[in-house]
Order: sequence, then C-alpha cells, then structure tokens
Amino acid sequence: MTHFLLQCRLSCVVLWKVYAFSFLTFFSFNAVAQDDFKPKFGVVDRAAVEMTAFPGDSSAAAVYLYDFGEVTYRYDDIRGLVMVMESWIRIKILKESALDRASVAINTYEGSGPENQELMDDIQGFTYNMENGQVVRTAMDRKSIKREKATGKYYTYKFNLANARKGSVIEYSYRRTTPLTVRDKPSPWSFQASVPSNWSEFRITIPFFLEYKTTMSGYLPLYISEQEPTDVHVGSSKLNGRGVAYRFVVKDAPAFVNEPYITTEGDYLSKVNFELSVIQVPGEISKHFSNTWGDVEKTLNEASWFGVELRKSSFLKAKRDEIMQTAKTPEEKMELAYRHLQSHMKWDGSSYLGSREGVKKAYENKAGNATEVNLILTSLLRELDLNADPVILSTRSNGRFLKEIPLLESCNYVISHVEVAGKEYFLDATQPYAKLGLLPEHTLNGYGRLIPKKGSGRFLDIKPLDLQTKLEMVNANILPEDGSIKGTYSISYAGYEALRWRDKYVKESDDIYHEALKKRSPEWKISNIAVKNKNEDLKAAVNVACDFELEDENASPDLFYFNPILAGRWESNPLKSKERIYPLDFTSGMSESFIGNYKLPAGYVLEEMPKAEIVSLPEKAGKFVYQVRQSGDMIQVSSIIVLSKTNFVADEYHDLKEFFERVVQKHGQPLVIKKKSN
Amino acid sequence: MRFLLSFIFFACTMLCRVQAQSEFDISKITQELNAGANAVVRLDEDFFEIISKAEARHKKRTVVTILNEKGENEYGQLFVGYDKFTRIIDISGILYDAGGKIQKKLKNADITDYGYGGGGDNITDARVKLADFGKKSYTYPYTIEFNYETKEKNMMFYPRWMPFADEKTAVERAQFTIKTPADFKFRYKEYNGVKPVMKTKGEGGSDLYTWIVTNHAVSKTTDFYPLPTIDYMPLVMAAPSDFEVQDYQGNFNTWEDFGTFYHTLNAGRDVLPPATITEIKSVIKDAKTDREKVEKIYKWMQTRSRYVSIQLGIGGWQTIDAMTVANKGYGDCKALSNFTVAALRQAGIPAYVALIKAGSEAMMKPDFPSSQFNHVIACAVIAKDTMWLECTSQTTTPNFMGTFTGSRYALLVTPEGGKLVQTPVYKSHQNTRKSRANVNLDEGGNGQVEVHTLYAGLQQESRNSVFHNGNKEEQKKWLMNHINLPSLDLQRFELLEGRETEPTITEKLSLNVRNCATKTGSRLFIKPTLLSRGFELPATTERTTDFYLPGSVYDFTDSDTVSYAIPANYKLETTLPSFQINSVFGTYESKTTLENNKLLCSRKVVMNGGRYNAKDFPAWIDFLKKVRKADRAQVVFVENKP
Repeated sequence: MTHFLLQCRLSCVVLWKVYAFSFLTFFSFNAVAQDDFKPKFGVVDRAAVEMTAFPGDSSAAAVYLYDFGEVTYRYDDIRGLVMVMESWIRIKILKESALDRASVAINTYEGSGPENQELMDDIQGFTYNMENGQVVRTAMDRKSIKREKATGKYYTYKFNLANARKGSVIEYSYRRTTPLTVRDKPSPWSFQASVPSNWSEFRITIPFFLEYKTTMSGYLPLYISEQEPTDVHVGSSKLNGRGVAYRFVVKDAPAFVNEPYITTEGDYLSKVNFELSVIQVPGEISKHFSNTWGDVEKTLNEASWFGVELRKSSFLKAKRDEIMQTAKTPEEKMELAYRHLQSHMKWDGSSYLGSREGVKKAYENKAGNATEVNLILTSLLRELDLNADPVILSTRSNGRFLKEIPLLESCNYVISHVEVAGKEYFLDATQPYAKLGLLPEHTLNGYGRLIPKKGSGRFLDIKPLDLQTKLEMVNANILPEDGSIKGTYSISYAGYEALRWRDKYVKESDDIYHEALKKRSPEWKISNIAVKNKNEDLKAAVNVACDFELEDENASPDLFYFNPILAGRWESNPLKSKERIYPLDFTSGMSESFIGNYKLPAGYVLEEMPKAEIVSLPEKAGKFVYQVRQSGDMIQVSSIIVLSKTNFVADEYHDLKEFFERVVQKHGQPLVIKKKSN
Repeated sequence: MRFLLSFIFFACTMLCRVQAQSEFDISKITQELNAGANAVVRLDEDFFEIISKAEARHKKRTVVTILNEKGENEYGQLFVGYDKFTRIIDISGILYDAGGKIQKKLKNADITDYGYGGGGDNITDARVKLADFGKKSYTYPYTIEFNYETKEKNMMFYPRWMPFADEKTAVERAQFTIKTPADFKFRYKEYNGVKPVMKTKGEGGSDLYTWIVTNHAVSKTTDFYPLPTIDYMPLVMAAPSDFEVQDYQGNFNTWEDFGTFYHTLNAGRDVLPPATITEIKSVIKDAKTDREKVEKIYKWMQTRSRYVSIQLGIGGWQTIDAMTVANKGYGDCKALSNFTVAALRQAGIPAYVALIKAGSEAMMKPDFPSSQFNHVIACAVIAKDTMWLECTSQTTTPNFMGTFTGSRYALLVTPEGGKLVQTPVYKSHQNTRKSRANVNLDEGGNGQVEVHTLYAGLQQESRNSVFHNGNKEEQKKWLMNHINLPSLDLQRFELLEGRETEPTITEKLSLNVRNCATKTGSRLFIKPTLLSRGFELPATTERTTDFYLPGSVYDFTDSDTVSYAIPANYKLETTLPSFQINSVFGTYESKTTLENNKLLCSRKVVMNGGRYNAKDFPAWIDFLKKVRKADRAQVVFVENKP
C-alpha cells in the first residue's frame, strides 16, 4: 500500500514526492525489468578510466560512478546490538577542482566502554589511472590512514588516496560499526550530491525486532525499490529470525543546485530518512518511540527536559504577583509577560528541542535556548491564569516536518500559544524587537504541534502575522535650471521590515544607520536625518525622514529627463533562472510602496510620462499598480507592489518572474519635462 | 592554493600581581575611550621570557571590559593553540561585574580542547584550547580577564605585538615585555609610531625590553579605504638571532641566514626515484629551450599531484621528501615545491624553493628578517630570467602568480643563503578587460546582445576560478549574477581558457535583454555604457588620513565598446555624450558616435591603485562623481512623426 501524502506535479519529468512507509505498509514495485549494476570492488571498467567528460554536463568536476551503503544489524557480546554500515564510493575525477575528493575524513564517536564506541575498520582504497594505454591500479597504503582526536569523544579518521589526478577513478570502502546505544538509526541517505551521480544505492536489512519509520523526499524517482522477506542472522539465538531486506536505487541523479527562496537545501534533496519506532526483543518489554502524535506528546510531557520543566514555576511567582497588580485584562497580562521575557531573557541563538540546564537556571542566567525562553513564557502565562501551551515546530533551516510522521526529532523549536477571548496568539520571546504575535522568520515553516496540558494536541497553521512592509515617499521640487531635484524623503518600515531594521540597528549608534542610508543613495546629498520610533513602540513602524538634493544626470535647461521612482527602485529581477523545479517560499508576504510628489517649475510642461500599469497574479496572489498623474503643477507617481501569497509552486514561476519583470520595467521608465516654447 | 599553517602568537604577561578589586571598575574608563567602542582593553600584558636559545615562556594577561554583544563575540572566548613544540602550562580567567567585583572564576570544565584541521586533506597535530564563561548572559558592561602561559620549544617564532589590532576596541594600556638572560642577543624593530623600547635590568642580571602604549580610542567612522594594517597599526616585530629547534641550530640575523637555515633543515630531501627521473627525461625530450623545459615539467607535475596539508611535528617547516611525493602523488606546498625543484634540477635547470606570504594583499616587512611567511613556491632560473611556479595548483599557468603571490617579495632559498626577490608585478596595463558588444534593438527597446570579452592578468582570476570550479549550471548562475543588467535571459555562453604565456579567459555571451533601452511614450533611452563596470561612491567624503586603493582591485584597464543598431523610425533627440576625465587615480574616456542608425559607444578606463595622500581625497571623490555621472548619461531617440 502506498501513502502519497503530498504530491504535486511539477513537470512531466520531475515529481515532488514525500511518502512514508512503515514496516507493514511498504511501497514496492517490481524491478525485474530494470538494468542492474553490481560492480566489484577493486575492478573498474576501462571506459570509466578513459572518460574525459560527463555526457550530461561537460563541465561537471566529478561524477559518482557508484555510491553504495548497506546497513545490517548484529549482536556481539562486547558491544551489544550494533548497526553495521558498509560504505563504498567510486568517483570519476574530471576536473582539478575535484581532487580533494581523494581526501576523506570520517568522524566517529568513541565514548567510554565498548558499548559506547563506534568502530571503523576495513578501510581500503584504490586509484585507477590510464598510463601508456593501460589501466594502472594503485592501492592505498595503510599508513596513509590517520586517526586524529577531534574534540571530546569524537575522533576523525583521515586518509588520502595515492596518485589521484584529473582523469583518475578513485574508489574506497570502509565499515563502521555503531552500537545502538550510540545511535539507534542509520544516518539519512542522500541520493544526490553536488556532482552528478550515476548510481546511488542504499540497502538495509531490518530484523523483526526493530521497526523504523522511513521517509523519502525529493524530486528524483526511485529506479529500484525492492523489499524481500529474508532470514536474518544477527548472531544471538534470541534475535535470529525473520526480517526484511530493502533496496533503493536512484539512477542518473543530476547535481543538486541551490535556488533562492527555499527553506533549506535538505528539503529539496532526494533522500531517505529513518526513525526508530519500536524495539521488541523477545522476552523483553517492547520499547515504543513516539509512534503517534499522542505518544510524542506523552514523551514530551514526561520528559525531564520539557514537561517537567514546564511545571516548574515557583521562581516566577514574584513576577506573576507584580503583573497581577498592574494588569487589568487578560490581554494586558499577556502583553506584560511577553515584554518581561523579551527583555529579561537573551536567546543564545540555538534551536534545540529541550531545556539543557533547566528553566530556573536559564531564568537566573538570563539566557537560554528557544525551548527554555518559551517554556518560561508559557509557565508565566499559565501562572497568570491564561490558557497557554507550548507549540513545537521545525525551523526553516531545520527543514520541513511531516504531520503524517510523528517524530520528536524533526522538531527543534518551541513557541508559545495563547488563547484569549476566543483569539489566538503565537508568541516567541526570543525576539527582543518583535511586537507581540510577530513570529521571527525562522519559525515560519508551515505549521506546529500544540502540546496541551491535558488531552491530545493538534496541528496549528503558523502564518506570518504581517507583511514585509515598506513605504517610501518623496516630496520634491524639480529645478531644471540647476539640473537638480530637491525635497524631503521619508521611509517607513513595518511588519517584518521593521523587525529586520530593528534587529540590525537598534543596538547600534545612530551613525551606523545614517551611513547605511547614505551608502544606499550615494548621489544624494542627505541632511537632517531623523529616525522616529527606533524601538519605543514595537507595534508601530520605524519612521525615517530626511532632506535630500540630487543632481540629475540628464539635465539640460530645455529638456529634463528623470526617473520618478527615486527610492525603492527595483533595479533587477530577483528571479534570474529561466526554469525552476522547486517551489518558491518567500517566508512572508510583501508590500512595497513608493509615492513621489513633484512640483513642476513655472514655464515647464510634462512632455511625456510612463503609462499607468496594473499587473495582477492569479488568485490575488500579488498586484502591482503603477500610476502617474498630473494635477496642475503637481505630478504624482505611485508604485505599489503587493505579494500576498508566500508559497508558489514551480508551475507559477514564470508568472511570478514576469510579474517582477514588469516591476523592473516600469521602475526604469523616465519622465520628460520640457520648457514651454513661447 | 593553500597556506602552510603558521602560528603567530600574540601575547604574554607581566607577573600577575593581585589587583585591588576596584581596579577594573568601569567608571574608571574615560569618556573618550568608551565612545564608539565595543570593548575596552583595560590591561594587556604580553610577556615573553627567553630562557635560552632553545626555550621560552610566554605569558599573556588580558583584561577587557565588554560593552556590548559585538565586544563579547570578540573577547568572550580565549583561544590558545598548541602542538608538539608549544605546551600549555596554565589557563585561568576571572569575570568582574561593572564595579570591578569578582563574579566568577574560570574552572577546568570551562575549557574545551579541539583538533585543528577538520578535512581529510588537512593532517596536523596542532590543537587549540578554548575557554569561556559559559552560557550565562551577563549584563553589559562587564569585565573579563584571561591569563595563559605556554612553554615554547620552537624558537623560530617570537611573538609579534600589535596592540590595536581590532578596529572597534579601545585600549587603556598595553605592554609588551621580552625578558632575556644577561646579554642575550635577539632582534626587534618598532613600526608605525610605537615609542622606542625601554631597557632595564631584571633579577639575576637579566635584560628587560618593554614597550607600552596607552589610551587609544577607536575611530568614529568606517574607513572605506584603509591602509594595509601593517602600514599604520603600531607594531613591534621581534625575532631571534641564534636559536635552536629540535636539534637544528640557526640564526635569523639576515635574510641570507634565514635562507641558510631553511636550506639546512631541508637538505637532501630532493632525491627522486629512478622511474621518476626516467619519466622526467621523456617529458622534456622534445623541449628546445629551457623555458619550454620548465613549462613541460611544471605541467607534468600539475597533472600528477595534488595538495594535501600535512603539518606534523617539525614537518610544519621540514618538507616531506621528494621520493614520497613521487610515490603518493600528494603533498603540501613545501613538499610539492621541493618535488618540482628536484625535477627541474634533473633537467639541468637551476631551481629553488621560495618562501612567501601568500594571500590577496598579504604584506610583510622586508626590512626585518623573521618568519613572516605562510607559503612555499618554486622558482626556476633560466638565462637571466626567473619563472615562478605555484605548485599547489593544478590549473595555474607557469609563471602566473596573480593576487595570491604576485607583486611582492619572496625569499629564495639557495645553498648560499636566502635572497629576497620580487615576484612578478601586475599593473594596470596587464590587468585588462576588452569587450565588444553588438546590440540589435527592436522598437520596444528590447535587445539581442552578443558580447565577446577578453580578460587578462588579475582580471581573469575570478572567471578562471569559475571556469575550473563550476559546472555548467553554476557557471551560468555566476555569470547571471555578474552581468550588470536589470534583467536578462542568458541564451548561450562560453568560457574559453588561454594558457599560452599569460592566462586569459574569453567570455562569449548571447543575451536577450528586455528593455535593453528604456521606452517611454515615443522616446527611447539608450545607455552607452551597457555592461561596463560601475564605481561605488563611499558614504563619507572627508578624511584626515592617507587612503589606499588596493592594486589587486584598482590596477586595471577596461575597454568596452557597444554598437547599437537603432530601429529605423527613430531620430536622435539629444547631443551625443562624450567625456574625458583625468586624475592621478586614473583616466576615463568615453565617446559616442552615430552613423547610419548605428550608435557606437566606447569607454576606456585606466586606474592606478596605491597609497594616496589624505589631501587627495576630495579629488578622488570628485573623480568618482564625474565618472558615475558620465556612466549614467543616456542617449535619447524620439520616434519620427510622419
């Protein structure tokens, strides 16, 4: 049975799919008719060594000819249950820049006691070169393998393959044995790399006593996907038994190319990921690991680093009493609690699900991770008799998490959810300059899971409260005799623009922003800069005003051309690629406006002006309105760009690119002013 | 191309006296020092005690008041590097509150130990210890004190003292002391306004050399054209006369001596296996001149080797022998240069390794013989000429040094000692860009553009790197981001590398540019400087100190021509712009002509980098403004009204 959780067609070739399968409900199809590739270690075909360029991309620096990983499970008396990963990589080096692929570093964990030690062994390597018409094989010298202490209990194995050159085929393999006490799941397997890959194969044989939740994601189809029930000999009579062998192959994967407006690379790479859900050793009580969201919630509520910490609030009593005395309404209580933690706690910048040192300690230290900051916030809100609960989520850089796959590990962040008089609020006190309810951009990743005090949790959509809003205004006199434009300029930052501005400049001295403003329009003579509401009222915009004077580049006393979009001009299209295979994610919507009022000098007329234009994206996703109006001796120019939708599928890319193109086009058009002929 | 790892330890301490607690009260910091600073160094004591020519102790005490988050990021942690020759004896620290009261002392658990190199191509025994006061957020301002002491057994390096290295840090007092046994000889030199040394006598007849600076406030404005640090920051250099390291004796009195030591350390490591010698003979068998031999051997070396950094024990300074490189096909800069030199000698070409400070705009003090290098290259001598070879790159053209090692001194290591010589210099006439564009405009202002551009000298470096390191998709993206146009569709492109005598890159582009000319109503606005490089104007237009335009950026010649085919139904409305701007910084010349609906635009810019006097700054701003204005000039055409 197949679970297609999300599928949207991008083009006939590329499919975006995420599907999950568990032990029993597995997606499979017969691969008998396919060409298979089963090379031998130490033997490489001549054609690969002779190849000088990769057919699909003549400028590729290297190609994975074969990228193989296989995971099996064993039991040994010293280490207990272990996971054995055999890796085997064969790479063709096509350009000099890929020579560093012949240098390999692998990290291992070596804790105290054998059950906490990873083991690296059987490291082998070969280099193949064409010499005088013959394929010459050089084996890696065992002395080239070095083991360096990295930090703490981590070590690094380093080795360099000999005689690797442009044109070489290099090949190496190694075995890594990992006790399940060190790590209980295979590392995610990526079928795609920064260079093309001809054949990427991952195999895993899962014995009957283990159950993993597996997710596949990315844009490349599986060439082979097989499962086969098999006998598994683990090495302990109690554990020997049946199991299932899986095999996944992606053939001819192109190099992964990063694009702008994505959440994080990992969300777009083709890969398979594992999460342990059950261990059921015969004769022992089975261990379940977050099987349903209910289980996740239970785990969280019982966890010493989450639920237990959430119930500690005695250290907040004094603050509660203080707020209780001043606040009259629930909204006021919420506001005061939020503001207190916003200023009291310093976020250490880390995103990690769970409190490391405990909330009390964090509160005393006045610093902590996002979990600590927002668990304290939730506790304080609860102390104030508000209906507040934590919400767990995955930040953008941590990648998407799937509602269908209850995994604690896929979340890395906590915010607080409050319900007051039927209204919902999302709070994140890690942000000193965000107004109440404005979540920082890194949390805007679709949805989160509410973890209530009692009863079962639910998913909540996490949407940006505001747009990235910028309003720029110019009121100016045109002075053709001087060849200049002189007037006032103001800019107002709101929503996410205000948050960005405040994050960047509140802590700085005024000069820093003044310098930045001047740098942005170096041709302007700027004076009397005034910044209002730096951070006095976070709900309101940051307002900047100044006087300016600028010399026009194409001035002559008779004929005066100038571009009326004096500020906030879109000089170039942010979407540059011709095609796009990934969806676009703009985090939040956008509203950018410019209004210019120009006074025409006596004796001059508006000779020519750009045409008005209105461009709309389908389904009200965006709108661009450009207008030029004359009334008397005043010329008013306005440009309003609104993007209300934040996520676009690849099919919409061309529309969006064209939309921006029109903006760039209009923003480049000048006005022409002419002296009246007598 | 990579650096060889070299440790330069700033640092050391006077004997730590117990200070009265209130000594570091922040109220004692003057207004002047507080202004604009992220941190104030209250006391920085750097103490280097030479015990013998083979051994020293290095103590450093730093007390810094942290004023904000940036200051905390800069000074909140202590890094102490160590390896086989440097042993850490002690690390300690104290945190004081604003009043100067002790809040916390550094514990062992606050110190973490890390390996230095992460990648498989970086093999080293160098490690680092990192200390900080943990997760707690302390209210600014507060004061941190760190102390550490190391024992040094590598006496090739003495500390270099640069007390004002950080731009946004004020310094109340910094002191550098070198203590030596009585009459022990070593060398030092003060630069950039450091007050001369004070010599005193210490216990047991020891000599003490002390330098002190006090009350240095930070600069208020951002410097857009800073001089090279080494040319304006107060600096004291120190280096050994006689020294000893792992049974090797040397002295650094002169560059000659320095070279002699390096030569001794690496003597006899240039023996090649017989098979490789045979290979070399066959590589050069058809070469007619020595130059050709060098080129052939260099290219052969490039195809059979790659760079792996290996810094183990004295191996940080002593090369892996040529035999090993021949067998394994890899090595670090020393080993690959040594191997190349060995191969050249087999061909009868005199060749030497040369020590150099590599990196863009990396500078050294040629008047002070000491370890200032981080890289090794090879130099072949043919007739009366030299050919310089970068041995860690597989793609560089023979004798091309570029921004990485060009235009500076290198220390040639000969059996007779070291010789400081100049590597190839890259001036404006060599760093060229020549472009020729043909634009077919339609009536709406859209253009079909064909451009051929030839890049040479330093100007080809970025494209050369894209050519070698990027795949087609990455090359395309890079080009799209570097083509100076509002919107474009890059239909075809090609990058071609020339590697004959000097490296060049030819770039061929076919572009479809919407609104290549701006159409408004009945007018068409055309840019004569389409695709040309723009000039940035700084935010501040005043300055009181000399300014510096780095040669690697400003020494260039750009010649661009654009030929527009204008749609037939348009006629010229404005005059045709032409500009001639001359200055000491460079010249700008543009010209526009119209012949039979062909608008021909040419622009030539020749710039000269270098150090300029502060009084020339208004002239520089004026030059930039004029050039920017000239670049913005447009040619306006208007539709013929029937």
